[in-house]
Amino acid sequence: MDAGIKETKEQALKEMELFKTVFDGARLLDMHALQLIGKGLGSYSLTESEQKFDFWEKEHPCNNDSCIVLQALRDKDVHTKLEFIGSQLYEVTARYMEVEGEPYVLELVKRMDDNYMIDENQREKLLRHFGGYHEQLYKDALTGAYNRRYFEEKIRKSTVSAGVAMIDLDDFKLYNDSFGHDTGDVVLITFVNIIKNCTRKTDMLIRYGGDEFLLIMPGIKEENFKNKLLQILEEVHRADVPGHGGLRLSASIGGVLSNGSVIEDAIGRADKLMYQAKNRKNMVVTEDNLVANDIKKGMLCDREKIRQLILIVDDSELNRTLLSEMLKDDFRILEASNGRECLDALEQYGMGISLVLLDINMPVMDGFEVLVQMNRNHWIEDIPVVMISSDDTESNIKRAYDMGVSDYIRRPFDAQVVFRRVFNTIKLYAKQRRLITLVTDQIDEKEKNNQIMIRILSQIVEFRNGESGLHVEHINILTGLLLERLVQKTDHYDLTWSDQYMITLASALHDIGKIGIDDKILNKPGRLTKEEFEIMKSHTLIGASILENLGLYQEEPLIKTAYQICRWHHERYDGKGYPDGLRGDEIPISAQVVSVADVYDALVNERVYKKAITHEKAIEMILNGECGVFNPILLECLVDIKDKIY
Amino acid sequence: MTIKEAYESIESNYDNVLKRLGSEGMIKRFAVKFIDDPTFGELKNALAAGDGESAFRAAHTMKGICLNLGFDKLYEVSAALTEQLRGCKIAGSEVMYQQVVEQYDRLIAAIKAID
Repeated sequence: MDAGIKETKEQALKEMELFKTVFDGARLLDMHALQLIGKGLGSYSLTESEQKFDFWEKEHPCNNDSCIVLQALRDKDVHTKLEFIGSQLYEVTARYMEVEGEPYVLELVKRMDDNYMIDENQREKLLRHFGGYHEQLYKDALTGAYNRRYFEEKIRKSTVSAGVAMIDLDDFKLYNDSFGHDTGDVVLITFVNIIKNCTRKTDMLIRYGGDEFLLIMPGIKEENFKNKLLQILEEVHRADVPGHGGLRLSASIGGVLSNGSVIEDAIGRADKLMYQAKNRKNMVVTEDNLVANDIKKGMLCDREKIRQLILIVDDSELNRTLLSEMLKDDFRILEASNGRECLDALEQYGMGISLVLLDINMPVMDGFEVLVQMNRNHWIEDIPVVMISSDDTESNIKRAYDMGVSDYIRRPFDAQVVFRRVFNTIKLYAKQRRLITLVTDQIDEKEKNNQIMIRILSQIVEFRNGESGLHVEHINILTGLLLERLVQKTDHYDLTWSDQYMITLASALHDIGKIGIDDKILNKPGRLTKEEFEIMKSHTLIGASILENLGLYQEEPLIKTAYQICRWHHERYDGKGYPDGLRGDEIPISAQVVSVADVYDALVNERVYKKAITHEKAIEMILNGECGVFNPILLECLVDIKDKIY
Repeated sequence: MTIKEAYESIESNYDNVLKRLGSEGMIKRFAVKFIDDPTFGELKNALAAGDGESAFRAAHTMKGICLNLGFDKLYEVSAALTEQLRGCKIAGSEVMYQQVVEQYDRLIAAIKAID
């Protein structure tokens, strides 16, 4: 634009009339008015001649930096800006000009009301254009939720009436570590999308930490808020992670209502509740006591039941009460007045105690002795101890840390500090405890699957034999009982706990070789001919060779043990069994034990070739050697356990 | 007398305690509780019975309580007594014990004077 527009007053006034038919406001500001604006006096006191141009009824002047009138004057140029007055958007154009040699600024204002023409497509583009800067600055690139920066700059100090919830994705670290970061990312995105789908456009989701999200739901009613959180919990748990069908997600949620207070306070409270929820995971905890119906659902939980338990150990009642006073609002408290009582409580509650606050000098048993015991029992690894003492010599503090205490608080203590340290320590251990249970659960799960697989396999064999299927179960139980008794009686066989477990597990496979025996022989009702019996005997070698041909797992203890059992469970102690005629302890103890169990169970149950006989008679026959000769010590074991297997 | 005045009358820093414990109500409750606290009686009895170990522990406990509740003067003398008794020998502790008694009585009187 040509800055050197020069006009006469008549020309200018004529133009103004024209502008006023197009714009909602048009005025010509002279130097006097411009100087007033420059001084920040917004309600420009206009001279009479200028008044007729006035439209602008702003109560407050815009600040000088963004005032385009002044800018136009400075640059001798034309500038345009958009400005909100209240909820109305205006387009303001300011243009420098000279009228009869004097500098003026022409200001033109257009209200952008509903008649302002912009089509959908353009509007989107416009919004994106203006929104873009904020998006990049305040959005988490991965999940599209608001980021921590947004929280710090826009939210932290603000006051709201809203539902405020901390939502933590359970075991996220585990997904990341065991499936890799790509999976971790997919999990996070899935998680955020679910929450977004469950909430309104006006709600705000902020990625507060790695796997911690803050949800703010302005103006929501208490009941709706609770239901929303429950809905999120359910949907998260139901969700499929794309490309990882087997993964099951869950969240721990703490929710509070903030009634016009600073949001930071509400977050602190929600955080505490979230950590209570973390104790069990897949759970929502809110502040009030909850309706029975919700508790039945098992997801919203009564706070009282899951608040962590803290054991305060101090010989002075006054000191205990003082500590208790600082913590009782957020934790359940247990007290002990000396080390002995402390150990008793630990014995009784175990991991039910989330933290111990321990004094050093006490009668009967002092704090250090408690630590010695806690180390001996390995309690110190699972139950954090915070030491409290006025005896803060360097050596005492060092000694306490050496003995595994998590923290050391000096007297006189500060209520806030005590609370903070206790809370932080519990927070840390809660995560660790959750991981321990998770790993144990996974191992249990795998173990169960192993058992199921073996059971299926042996069931196939049983089915073909026309046996009830209970045979395998009986052998399993009998083998376990015999082994248990055997190791009590002698350490000759050097059987560890895991050896016993392996033998018991593998006992189910003793007859797998029968899969290779002809049906007609296997299920023949009458006596077998000599040839048929020879074929029948070969099930031991067939079973052994099946296992040998597995190839891959040859060195696995389970396979080695199963091999021994399959091949030699028909050997006898005097060398008169089959297939190899081993004698005495040449026969592996695994096979010896299973052979006793096998014979007993075959006797007391019906077979196609024989009737069932009684428990007493069966024991008698085995002891008499009617079923072949067995290891004398195993016969003793059989007698010892006979009342248990009746 | 207000609780603050009571603290000041026994040369103890009330503001420090308030900062740590957070509320006047809490300080008052625990100060009043101290009147019935058995520790002083235990100290007295242990010394009378010549039981050095119990005397040491009682003095030590007293020291801890005084620290927490900000009874600065009684803390000073009971801390000194605790060190004297650390070897569990009573001999030589008489003067210090007398100082503890003196400060204890002053403190109790001050607490009782709180409205």
